[in-house]
Amino acid sequence: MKRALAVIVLLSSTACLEPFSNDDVLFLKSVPTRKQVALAVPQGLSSCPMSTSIYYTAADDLSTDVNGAVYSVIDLITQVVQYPPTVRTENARIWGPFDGERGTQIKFTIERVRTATTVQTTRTSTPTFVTELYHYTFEARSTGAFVKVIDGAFAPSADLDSGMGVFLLNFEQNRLEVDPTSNDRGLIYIGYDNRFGQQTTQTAIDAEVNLERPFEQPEGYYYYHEEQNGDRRFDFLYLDTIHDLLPDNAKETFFIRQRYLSDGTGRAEIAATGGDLGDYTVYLTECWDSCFQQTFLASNLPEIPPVGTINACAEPFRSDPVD
Amino acid sequence: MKRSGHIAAIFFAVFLANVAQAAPTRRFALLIAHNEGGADTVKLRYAETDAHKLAGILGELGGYQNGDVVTVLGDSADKVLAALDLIEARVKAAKTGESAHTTLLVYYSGHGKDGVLRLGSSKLPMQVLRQRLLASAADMKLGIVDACESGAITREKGGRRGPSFLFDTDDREANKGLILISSSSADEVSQESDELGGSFFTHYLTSGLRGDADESGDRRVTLGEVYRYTYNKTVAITANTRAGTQHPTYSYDLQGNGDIILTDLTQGASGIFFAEPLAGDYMIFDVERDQVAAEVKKVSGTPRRIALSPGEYVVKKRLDDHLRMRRFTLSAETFYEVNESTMDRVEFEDDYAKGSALIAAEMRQRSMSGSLRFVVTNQLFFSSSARRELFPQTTLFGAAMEIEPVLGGIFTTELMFGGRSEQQLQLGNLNVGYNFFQAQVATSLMWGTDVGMFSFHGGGRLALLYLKRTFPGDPVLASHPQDYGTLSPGAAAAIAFYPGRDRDFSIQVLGRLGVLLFGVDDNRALFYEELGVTIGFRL
Repeated sequence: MKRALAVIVLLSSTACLEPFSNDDVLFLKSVPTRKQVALAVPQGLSSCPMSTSIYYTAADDLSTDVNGAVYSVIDLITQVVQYPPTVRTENARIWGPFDGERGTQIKFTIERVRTATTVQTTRTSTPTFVTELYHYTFEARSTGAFVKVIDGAFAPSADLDSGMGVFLLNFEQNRLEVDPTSNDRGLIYIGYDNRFGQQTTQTAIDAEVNLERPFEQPEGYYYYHEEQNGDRRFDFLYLDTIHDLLPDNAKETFFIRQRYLSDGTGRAEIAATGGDLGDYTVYLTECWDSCFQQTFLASNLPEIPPVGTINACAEPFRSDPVD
Repeated sequence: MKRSGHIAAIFFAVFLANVAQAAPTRRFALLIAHNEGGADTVKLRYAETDAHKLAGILGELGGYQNGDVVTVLGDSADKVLAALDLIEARVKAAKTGESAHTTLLVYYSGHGKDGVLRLGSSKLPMQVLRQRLLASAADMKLGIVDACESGAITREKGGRRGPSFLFDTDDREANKGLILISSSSADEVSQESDELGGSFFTHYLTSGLRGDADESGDRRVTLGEVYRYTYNKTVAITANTRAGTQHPTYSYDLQGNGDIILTDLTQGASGIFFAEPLAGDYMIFDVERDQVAAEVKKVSGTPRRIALSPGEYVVKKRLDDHLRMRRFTLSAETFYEVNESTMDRVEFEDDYAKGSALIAAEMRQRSMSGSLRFVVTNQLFFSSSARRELFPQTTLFGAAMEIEPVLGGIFTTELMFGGRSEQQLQLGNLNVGYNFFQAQVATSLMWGTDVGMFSFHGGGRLALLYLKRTFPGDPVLASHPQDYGTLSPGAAAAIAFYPGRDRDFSIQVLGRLGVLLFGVDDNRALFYEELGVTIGFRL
C-alpha cells in the first residue's frame, strides 16, 4: 500500500484544469475523507498535564492506531483523485491505470449506480432507501488481473450534503498481488454516516483473517458517535493481555464503553473476560475531568485500589451504569 | 456642424440711411461674440469668427467710420455693458455734432439659453440688452442675435417668424426706432457649419450683405432684402440638419418708413463680377481666412457684383457630378470677372477650398478611426439553476478597441475580465465554496445612427468565453479547478452620448444578449444578459 502511495505522490506534482462539471463534484464528494471516518477522541488543552486516566489514554492510543491505518488509505485515494480522471463517462470516472514500481499498476474507479435498495452502514444508522450510490474500487496488480484492495460505496443523502458510506480495506489482496513485503494484514471494514449533523463511524478489524469466514473473529471492533453538540460515545472491543495481574498465556477480551461531554470529561465502563481470566469477568469504572485526569476508579478486582467517589464524576455520569 | 444649446445673438445696426437724405448719418456698431457659454454648453467654433467677418463687411461696405465698429470678443458680460456705455457715449456725442441722424447696430454671436446670453461663465439677460437698445440715443437701433433660442429677444413685442419684412418701400424718409432680428425662434437651436466656417445664419447674412441679397440689382443691400435672403437660405439649409429647421424671427418698433440700406456695394472698390449670362450656384472661398466669404445663386439675365476686400480667393461652382474651381488674387480697386472657361474641373473629393476644419472633419469620416473604451458590465444568466450551479452573477471589467468604418459599422474587439470569490456552489443542499473567474475576448459589429449628441447602435457579437472555478476550501476539490471555454454568439446594442462637438469622448450604455452552449454533464443552451457602461476616447 505504501508503495502505491509513493507512485501516486510521484505522479501528482501538478493539478490540471478539468471540465466545468457538477457531476465531477458529486463523484469526488463520494470519496471518503479523514473527517468522515475518524475516531475523534477528544484532545485536551495544551495546558493540561499528561493524562492520568487509564482508559482515556487507552482510547486515545487505540484511535490513533486505527486512524493511522485508515488515514493512509484515505490519503492514497485522495492522492489518486487529485488527478483529472483518465476516463470520464456519464456514470463513471476512472483514474489510471498508473504504472508503478516493478510493473505494478493501480487503478481507481468510481461508478454511479442507479439502484433501489435500503442502506444501513452503522449499527445505529437509520436504514434509508436510496436510488443512487457511488461505488468505488481501488485496484492493483503486479502481473495478473487487477484485484480490489479497496472496495467501497457512498450513498449521498437526498439533499446531497451528507450521506452514508462503507468501504473494505483488503490488505491480504494487496500483500498477495501487489506487495508481498507489506506488513499490513487482514481486513478492515469501515462504515460511516454523517447525516443529520451527527457523525458515526463503525470499524472492524480482522487482522488474522480467515478469508473463508471474514470477521468471524475480529481483533477489534470500534463504534464512534458524535452528536452535533459535541457529546461523544466511543465503544470498542478488542483482545489484549492484562500484564500485571495475570499470566500472559492468553489474551483477554475487553469491552469498553466511553462517554464524553463536549468539554472532554467522561466516564468509561470496562468489562474484561476470557483469556487468562477464564469465565471470570472484571468490571471497572473510571471517570476523568476535562484534562483527562482520573477522578474516580472502582473495580470488582481487589488488586485494583479504588480512587475517589462516584461524585467525582461529571454529573451526567454519576448514575450506574452509564448507557 | 450644429450650434446647439447656446445662443448666438447679434445686434446689428448699420443703417445706411437713405442716400437721398440730407443729413449725414453716423453709424456705430458693437459686435459681441463669445465661443464659450460656461457650464453645460459646448464650445463653439465660429461665434467670434462670425463677428470678425461681419466687422470686416461693415468697414468695407457699411459706411462706418474708422473706430465706430467696436468688437468685444471672448469677454464677460461686464465688459459688454461697459462697451455699450462707451458706444452710447459716442452716439450722444455724435448727435450733438454735425450728424443729426445716428444708427446703432448691436450684434451678438454665442451661446444663449432661457433668455440669457452666455458670455463664458457670465450671463447677460437678453432683455437687458433690449432695454439698452431701447434707451439708446441713436435714432435707429438694430439688434441681431445669432444664438440658440434667440427668438426670446423678439418675442416680447410680438416677434414674427417669416420671410417677409416691411421695409421694402421706396420711401426715403429717415427711420427712427428699434428692430430686433434673431437667428432662430425661442425654442430652436442655432447651428454652425464646418463647411461654411460659421453659423448658417451669419454666413447668409454676410453673403447677402456682400451682394447676393441684392434682389433689385441697385447695388445696395437693404435690410428687407438681406432678411428675406437670410431667412430663406437659413430655413432651407437647416431643414436637412439633425438639429432641425432654424427659423429667424424679427420684431420692430418704428417711426416713419424707409428703406434701410445696410451695405452699399458701390463703396466696395474690389470684388467679384458675374456677367449676365452666367447661372448656377457659386461659392467664394476666402483662402486667407479659411472660410466661405459668400455664396451666390446666380440666375442668367442679370449681372451680379459681390464686394470683397483684396485677397486670395477661390470661386467654385457646384455641378451635379463635379466642381469647377478657379483660384484668383483680388487686387484693390479691381473686380475679378468669373469666366467659366478658365475654371478647372475638380472632382468632389479633390475640393481644395473647404476650410481646414471641414477637411479635418472629412478626413475623420473617410479614414478608419479608432476608439478606446473602458467597459464595465454586469453579467447575469437568466436560468436561476445556472446561476446557482454554474455561473454566478459577475461584474466584468475590460477594454475595447473600436474601429470604424468596417462594413459600414463599428467593429469592436474587447477583452474583459471578472470574477467572484467565496461563492457557494449549491447542488441540492450540498454547499461547496468556490471562486469564479471569467475572461472574454469578443468581437462585435454594430451599425447605427447618430441623433444629435447621441448615437444608437445595434448588431451582432461573438465572444470567446473562458470560465473557471476553484474550490480552495475543499480538501478533495481543492486540487480540481474546473474550466470551460466556448464561443458565445449574441446581440448587442448601445446608446452613446457625445458631450463634445468633436465627439472625441463618449459615455455609452450597452446591453447584450448572449447564448452559451454548455455541453458538460448535459447539453444546455444558457442565455445571459450583460448590462454595462463604457467611456470611450477617440484615438
